[in-house]
Amino acid sequence: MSYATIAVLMFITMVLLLITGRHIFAVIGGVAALYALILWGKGGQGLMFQAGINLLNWYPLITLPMFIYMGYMFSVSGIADDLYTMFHVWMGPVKGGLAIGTIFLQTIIAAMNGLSVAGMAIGSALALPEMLKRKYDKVMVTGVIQGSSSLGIMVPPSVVLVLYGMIARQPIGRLWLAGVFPGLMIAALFIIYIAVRCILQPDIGPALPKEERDKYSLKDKMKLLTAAIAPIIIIFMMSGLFFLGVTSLVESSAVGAGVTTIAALLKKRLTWKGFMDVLKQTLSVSAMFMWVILAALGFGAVFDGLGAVHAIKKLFLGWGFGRWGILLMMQLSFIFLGTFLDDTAMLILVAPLYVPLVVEMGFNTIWYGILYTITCQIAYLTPPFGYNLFLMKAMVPKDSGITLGDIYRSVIPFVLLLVVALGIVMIFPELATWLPTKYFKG
Amino acid sequence: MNKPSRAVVRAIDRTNEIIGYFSMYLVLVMMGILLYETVMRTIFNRPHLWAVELTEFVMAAYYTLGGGYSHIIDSHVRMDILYGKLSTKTRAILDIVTFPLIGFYMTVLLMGAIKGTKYAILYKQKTYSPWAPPVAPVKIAMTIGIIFMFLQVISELLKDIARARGEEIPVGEVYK
Repeated sequence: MSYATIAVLMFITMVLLLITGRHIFAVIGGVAALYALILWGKGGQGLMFQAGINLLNWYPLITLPMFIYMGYMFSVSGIADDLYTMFHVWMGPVKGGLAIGTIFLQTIIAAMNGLSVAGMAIGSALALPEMLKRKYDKVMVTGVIQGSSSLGIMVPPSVVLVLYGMIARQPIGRLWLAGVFPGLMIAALFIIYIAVRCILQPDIGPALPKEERDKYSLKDKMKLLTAAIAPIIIIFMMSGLFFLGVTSLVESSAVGAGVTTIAALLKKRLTWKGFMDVLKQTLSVSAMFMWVILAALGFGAVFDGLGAVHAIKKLFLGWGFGRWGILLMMQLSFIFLGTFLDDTAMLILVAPLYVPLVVEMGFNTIWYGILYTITCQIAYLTPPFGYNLFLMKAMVPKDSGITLGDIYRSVIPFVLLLVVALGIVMIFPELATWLPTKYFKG
Repeated sequence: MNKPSRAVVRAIDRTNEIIGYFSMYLVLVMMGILLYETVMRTIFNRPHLWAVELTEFVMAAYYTLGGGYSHIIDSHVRMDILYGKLSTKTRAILDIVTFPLIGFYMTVLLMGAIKGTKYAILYKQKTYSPWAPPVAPVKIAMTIGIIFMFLQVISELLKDIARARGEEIPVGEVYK
């Protein structure tokens, strides 16, 4: 049997076993260990643990627990509550304003967060009940929260881009800057969509009634703007100092986590129980991610030994689709795999195979990182394996009358908008590459 | 569940819960080292060679030692297109059937860990960084983490066997 056939067989074994519902890390690791032993006997024995030792050199991964901690700390800090009130009062008078305000809120949260979990939690705890109370269409608001929280992985900081940067050996600062404009563009697409829909169908996103608007005087409204101060300080201390070259990547994530903790203490919302919850959640989510990464790295090592990179190259280049055709196929295969695997595992398994291909075809690897991230956002939102869908299911208030069908249907327009965004970034690579090139001068 | 297995499950769960509560704080240790380094380097212009590498070591201990506790509270993801639709009893049976997979992975991982740790101690292995600390402590911590993760996997198997027999044992909780 040729090595390429074995590689394909290995992948199929993994996908089939994943369907049994056994923990993803165990399936990936178990299949990898099995093939390593069959192929190399005793020599393959240490491979799985060796992955953990190799992980020790992946310094940028330290940002993972830091950002997870920061996300949970941010959720309990009360900063989001004030921000939400600000957008609620200022945007409420517009048709669909609460939904548009939610997108603004999520964009700001995304700028303080490397994952989309915090955005989901805050969105469904704060924005969802308020919008439902104001007779907003339940399907639309459910979609708004899921769609806009997916910005968490695009707007810097982004854990997905950290992982991609390590695999593709690209500087993470550049990747983060490359995500700024595509992230803002996606937010703008979402806002335009909501605004247009609410003008055409005013009953799905009514403006706040006059009596509620009159509750706040102009002075009150001005005072509400101070809610933006804390986020601005946090963003500056974390991303600002990093882009200015003052702090390194891992330092910046610790500074972000530290500053958010101080902000939570100053707001006096942090209880001891709340703090323990943050620590507990951070541990369980970090451990979950790391065990998947550990197993996936072992799997990747076996793949590497089989020469899968070369095989994939030959396979794709042999079809004669041209480089754009191949690029399209790669994105489609990502979305397809996204239905079986979680996104972290997918990135670690597939990116090492695809990045050399991207380089060989003469594409820009920074730009490809952004395409990859948008694809990840789509994978987050699409059933059956979408993190956001799972979270949404768990987080919607029981009495809201939102069904699973509503949740599935609600993401359709946002997925379509993300596909549009993917197309735009493909056609205009400058959207991603201009800012990092300008900032780092070349 | 019979008496001996109940005692085993209880002991493993309790131990991993304690290890989990201890590991939880390591995130603060990591943050502390990095913040100290940030201040020393940017304000006092006194960078340290060891800061980031030490943090990475703490992180390795953090996630391996925390693995068992995360397993108790059911944080490790599964693909649940089918699994999610099944009854608790069927899930338990399915988990017993696929146990060899996780058992095999943990065995190979543990064997590699023991071999690697022995090597690190025997040859006083150091990392290839300018700081060049010994590798043994982090390997020992990871091996301990893997052992306790393995024990938790066994504890979950025992719980699944009981569930398959119709006993009601809550998922995602320490066995009381």
